[in-house]
Amino acid sequence: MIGTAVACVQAVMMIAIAPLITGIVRKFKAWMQHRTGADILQPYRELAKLFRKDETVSESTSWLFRAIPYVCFATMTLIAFMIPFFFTGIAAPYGDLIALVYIFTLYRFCMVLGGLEGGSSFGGMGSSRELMMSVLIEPSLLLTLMTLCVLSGAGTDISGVPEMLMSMGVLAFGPALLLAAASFVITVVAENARIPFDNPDTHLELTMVHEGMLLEYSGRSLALMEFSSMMRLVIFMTMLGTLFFPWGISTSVEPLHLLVGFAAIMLKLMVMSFALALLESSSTKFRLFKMPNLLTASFVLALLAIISLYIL
Amino acid sequence: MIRRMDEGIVDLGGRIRELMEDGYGVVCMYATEKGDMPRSIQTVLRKGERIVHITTVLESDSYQAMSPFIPQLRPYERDMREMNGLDPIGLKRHYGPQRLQWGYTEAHPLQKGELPAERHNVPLTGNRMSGDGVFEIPVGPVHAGIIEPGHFRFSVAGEPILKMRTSMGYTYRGIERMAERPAAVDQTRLMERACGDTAVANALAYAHAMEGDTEIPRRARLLRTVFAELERMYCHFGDIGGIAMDAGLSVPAARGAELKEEVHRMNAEVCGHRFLMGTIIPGGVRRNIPDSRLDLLKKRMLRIGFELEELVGALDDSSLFLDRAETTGILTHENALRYRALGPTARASGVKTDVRKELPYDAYSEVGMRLITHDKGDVYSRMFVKAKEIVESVNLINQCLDLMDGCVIRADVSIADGFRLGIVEAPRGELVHAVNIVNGGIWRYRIRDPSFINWIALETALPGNIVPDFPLINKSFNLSYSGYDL
Repeated sequence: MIGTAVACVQAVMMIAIAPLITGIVRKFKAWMQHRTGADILQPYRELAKLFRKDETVSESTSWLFRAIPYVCFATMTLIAFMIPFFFTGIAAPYGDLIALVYIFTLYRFCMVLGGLEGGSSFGGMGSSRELMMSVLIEPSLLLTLMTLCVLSGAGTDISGVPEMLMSMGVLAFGPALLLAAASFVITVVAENARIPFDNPDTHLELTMVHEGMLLEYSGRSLALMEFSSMMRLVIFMTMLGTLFFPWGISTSVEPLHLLVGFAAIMLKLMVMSFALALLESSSTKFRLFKMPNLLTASFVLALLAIISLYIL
Repeated sequence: MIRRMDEGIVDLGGRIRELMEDGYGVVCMYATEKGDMPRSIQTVLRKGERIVHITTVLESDSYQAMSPFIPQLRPYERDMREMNGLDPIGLKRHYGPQRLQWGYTEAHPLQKGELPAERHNVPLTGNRMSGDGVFEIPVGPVHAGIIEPGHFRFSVAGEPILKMRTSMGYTYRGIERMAERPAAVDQTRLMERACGDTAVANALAYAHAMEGDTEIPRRARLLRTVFAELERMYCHFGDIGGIAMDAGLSVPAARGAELKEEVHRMNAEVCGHRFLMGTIIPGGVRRNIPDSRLDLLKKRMLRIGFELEELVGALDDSSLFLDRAETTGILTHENALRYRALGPTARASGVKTDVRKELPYDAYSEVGMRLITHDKGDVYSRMFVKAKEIVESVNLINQCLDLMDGCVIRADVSIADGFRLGIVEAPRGELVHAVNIVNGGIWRYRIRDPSFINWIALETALPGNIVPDFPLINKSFNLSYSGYDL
């Protein structure tokens, strides 16, 4: 009972800090560019502003256009309840890792439809590019998660993976885990439309992928879409921090353990935000047709990870 | 130095071709309205420092099109049709950017007297591509960033671009018409605002046109050179930062913006205006830099030189950046010559053209400079040329500061009737002001911004590139919209 309560609290917390993490990444980037940067709470203000604003919807759209932001937001909320944050118990233990992958796919599918709905050329371009990338991301994401299942011996049970990995101790730190984590890092960057795959700060409508699909949205719909993107970033970072490197996470509801678990995941998020900002500041956006190369590298890493499980 | 000729409309094309075979290039072509002088086409050609000016008196409003066999004339023929209502016979379609978004039914914007109140919108003309799987992407005129308005139409097959058409005229202010006033009125302020980041070059071209053979005091000539080079520096810094920004390289982009800002602040400190407006005047300069400030400027130049090296080093060391910039948006040497591309754009394609070298004005004949060229014609070449030109600008400014003496900064100018020409090297290339003065009044004032030509060069550099690379290519050309629209 108390475990479920804690699990619910952690999911809500994950949702609540999503804009904060985006703000922190932006702040790190600003520092690296020799700028002061906006306050780390700025994303909250942006969302609050958008929620208050009126919406403009193109006449060429159907009901789907207005429904999609809610679906996107719902999928991300659902995933927040499905994965551990600082406590291995989860509030919604009904889905497994495979379901997780396809809930992400549902999210992306809806976003692509939303991009096409507006009828503008930029939405269409963004959608077609997003689909090209998603075809390549999905297999490597599946393979990396499968590596985790086999390595930990927990099967596809999400809360089992960190528990089993922790009980393995140092043994877990093999090539399989590291290769899978490396592959997952590339997936995180690609999934969240960051440089080198996409530029989240760009104003150039012709180069947009993720932003291109959001161009037609405004007001509350845009706020929901933006909020979902922020949540997606935190969810992926959390997956890297709790599924691949769970050390520090709390397995019981002892207040002290929970506190340690919370501190550990926040520290991991900080480190990952910094690494992401560093990557975005030092890399260029790739030429569109070079992106498949990097995604293939991610796939090969995932494949190697799963092979190494059996031959090493 | 200017050779004058009269040529009938029938032989004009042949004469231009003859001169081009001799190595001349068309610098400017425009039409004058009937009234104090006959309706005519004025053509200016240049080869090094030799200039030919051809006057062609027109009998009617139409003439045999020349651009089908002289590609350099494409933008001019389009301009004369939209602005003066001259109809080129036999031209199936117009090439180059559209000049205006609207037109009059029975009148044209540059005609003398009152203009009709009623205007109608002009749709984008030109050859559109069609076929299986070919789509059109309309972009602009409102863009997502803070840039000038212009409309682009891409014909694409998937991501690769087959063709781009440009439609301009959203910032048309009628500057050429406004300038038709008594020649004695000082219009520097108007000229400076023809294109905001080419303020010095425009003022300088205006001053040169008005001055004619007037002897300009030495200190004024040196100061003009300093101002012109300061302008070139901030423009090029902005371009390099912009290229890095569009490649997604945020740290060098921020660095470029910082350096541009530094030059702006330096401008404000030494001349009182961030964009150097109000510094030039026919006969000399309006602003003196006191001797006490010269050292300060010199010290800043030294530091900027170092910082530029660091910035360009960071870009050169980034293999990811080179991957984006090399082989992207190639303007071939042939096309650069064919359309007579100008400025850093042409130099990056291996064309050795620079007014400062060929037709030295002000203090450029007293100081030494290198002509920077590159042979690839891609985004990287253009960035390379611009970066090296900043180094040259630093050198030029230092030389001018060393030579600085005297204290007179202004001479009296008397303006005689006739054809006047001012040619200077603006940051984007050769800028021309051609003026016809009749009875002490300006009958026709023509501003030919380098972007007027380079927009066509951009259109030819695009086919074969992919849509997401367009912003990067566009930034490396960095053309002016308001300079085109006027």
